[in-house]
Amino acid sequence: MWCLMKWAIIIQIQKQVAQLLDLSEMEVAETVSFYTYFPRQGVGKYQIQVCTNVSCMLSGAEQLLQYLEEKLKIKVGETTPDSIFTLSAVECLGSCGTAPVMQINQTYYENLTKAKVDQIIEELRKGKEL
Amino acid sequence: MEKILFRHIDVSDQYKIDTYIRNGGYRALPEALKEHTPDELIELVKKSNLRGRGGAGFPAGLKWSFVPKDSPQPRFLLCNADEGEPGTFKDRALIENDPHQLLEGIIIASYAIGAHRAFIYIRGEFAFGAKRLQEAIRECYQKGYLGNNILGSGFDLDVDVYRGGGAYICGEETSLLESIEGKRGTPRLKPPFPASVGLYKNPTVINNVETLSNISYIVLNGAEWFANIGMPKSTGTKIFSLSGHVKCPGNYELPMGVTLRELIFEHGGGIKDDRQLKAVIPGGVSTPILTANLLDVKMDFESLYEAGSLLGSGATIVMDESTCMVKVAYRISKFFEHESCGKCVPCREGTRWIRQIMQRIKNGKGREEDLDLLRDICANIAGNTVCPLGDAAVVPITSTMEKFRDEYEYHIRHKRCMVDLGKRFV
Repeated sequence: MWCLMKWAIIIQIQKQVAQLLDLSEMEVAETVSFYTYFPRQGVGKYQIQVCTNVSCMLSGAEQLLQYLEEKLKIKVGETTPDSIFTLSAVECLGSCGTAPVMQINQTYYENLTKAKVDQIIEELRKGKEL
Repeated sequence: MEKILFRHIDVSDQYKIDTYIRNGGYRALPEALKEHTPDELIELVKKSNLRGRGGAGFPAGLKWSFVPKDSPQPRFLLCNADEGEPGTFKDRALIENDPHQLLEGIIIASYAIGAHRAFIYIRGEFAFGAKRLQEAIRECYQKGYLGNNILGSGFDLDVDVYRGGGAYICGEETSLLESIEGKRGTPRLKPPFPASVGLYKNPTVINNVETLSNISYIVLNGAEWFANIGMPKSTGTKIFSLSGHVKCPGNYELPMGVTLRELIFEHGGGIKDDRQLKAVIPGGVSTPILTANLLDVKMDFESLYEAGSLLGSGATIVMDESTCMVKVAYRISKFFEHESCGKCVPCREGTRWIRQIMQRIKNGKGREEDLDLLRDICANIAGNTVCPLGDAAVVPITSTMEKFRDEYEYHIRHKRCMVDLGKRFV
C-alpha cells in the first residue's frame, strides 16, 4: 500500500490505484487524505520536517523553525521557488532525547544548532543526495 | 541494577544476527519451541506479571490467554511499533540497535498464541528502523528461525514489516488493525476485543515492542526471576525516555519503582543550566502533569496512579522554571487537534475548540469565563469517545489548569506570560 499510495499522490494516479486494487476512487481518496505521509500537493526535493512537539519546543524548536524560515526565505508550509526545499512543522518524530530534531525526507538530524543547520542546508544546496 | 533489554545497546553491530547470537541471543527460542507447550508459555508470562509497555499496562500473558483455543480461524500477532506518544523514543532504540531481540520475542509469542503470521507495524518516520527490521527478518529466514518448520519443531511463522502513514491514532490497537487492512486508521468499538475479532476479523494479539523484547529473557530465566525485579505489581524493568530540560536526556532502563528523583538527578544529571525544576510529565503527553514537590514518587503503574498520574509509555518530560505551562498545554492541545481522527464528534469538535481557547489564552486574548468553558468542554469529551484519544486530549488541560491555575489567570488578566522563556536554540 505504501508504495502505491506514494505514487498515487505524486503523479495523481488515484484512479489507476483504485482500478489496480479493485476499489472505488473514493476509497483510495479517503485513505490517502487520512495520512500525513501522503501529501496531496507537490513538495520540494528536500522536505524539511521540523518537530515542534513538547520536548523539542522546550529545546528551542520554535526558534529553529524561525531560523529556517529566515534562511530559506519561505514560511512554514511553503516550497522555495526553485522547488528544492519544502519547510513543514510536524508532530513528534520520536527522537525527543536529541531535541531539537528535524527530518529531511527520510533522514533524521538531531541535537540541532544554528551552525549544524547552516552546514546541512549548505550541503543540500550543493546537491548532496540523501 | 543489571540491564536486560539494553544490555547490548552499546554494541555497534548488535543488529547483526551473528553478533546477537554471540551475545547469547536465540537461546530462548529453541527452549520455548522444544521444551514448552504454548499453554505453558502463556502461563509463564502470566506468572511473570509482565505488563504491556505501550501505555495501558495490561498483563501480556492474560491478553494472550484471551485468544480462543478452539477457533478454526487463523490467528495473528501484531507488534505495535507505531511509537508516537510525544516524549517516547524507546522503541526506536530497541528496533534500531537490537532488532533480533524483538524478533525472538515475536516468534515465541506467535508460537504461544498459535499464530503463523506476524506483522510489525512501524511508524512511517522510522525508515531506518524498518530497514533494520527487514534486514534482520531476512537473516532469520536464512538461519531457519523464520519460515517453515522452525528449528525442526514443526512450527511455521512468517513475519512482515508494515510501515504506517504518519498518524498517531494508529498506535491505538483497533485503529492499527484498520490501518493494516489498508483503510483510514479510525478506532473500532470494543468489545469485541481484538483477541477474538481482530485483523480481518480473526483473533489477534497486539503487543508493544518493549513488551515483546522482554519475552526471551522470561523464557530463559523464568517467571520468578522477572517477577522479583521491580515492584510486586509492576514487575521487570522499564525504559524511561527522559527529555526536556535535563542535562543528559536519553533512554534509561531501570527497575520499575525507581523514584523520579533518581531518574532525573542521578541518571539524567539534573536540570539543565542548574535551574529549578517546575513540573514533570511522567508518561507521555497523555498523562497528568506532576509538580516538582512529587519528586519522590516511584515510577511504576500503581505508585504513579496513586500520585494522580500514569506511567504511560515511560516518557518523562522535564520542565524547568522557565517553562510556561499555558504554552505547554496549548502545544499539547494542538497536537491532539491534529491527531484526532474525526470519528467521534466530542473529540473531533472538542479538541479543535480546546485548541482555539488555549491559543487565545496563550496570546493574551483570553477571557475570564474561558477556564469554566474549558472545564465544561473537557467534561463533555472524557468518556464519550470510542478510543482513549479523547480522554488523553483532556488530561493535559485539566491537570495543568488544576496545578498551575495562577498561570492561566495571569495570562488572562495581564495579557502576557508570567515566566521568562529564554533562548534555547543557539
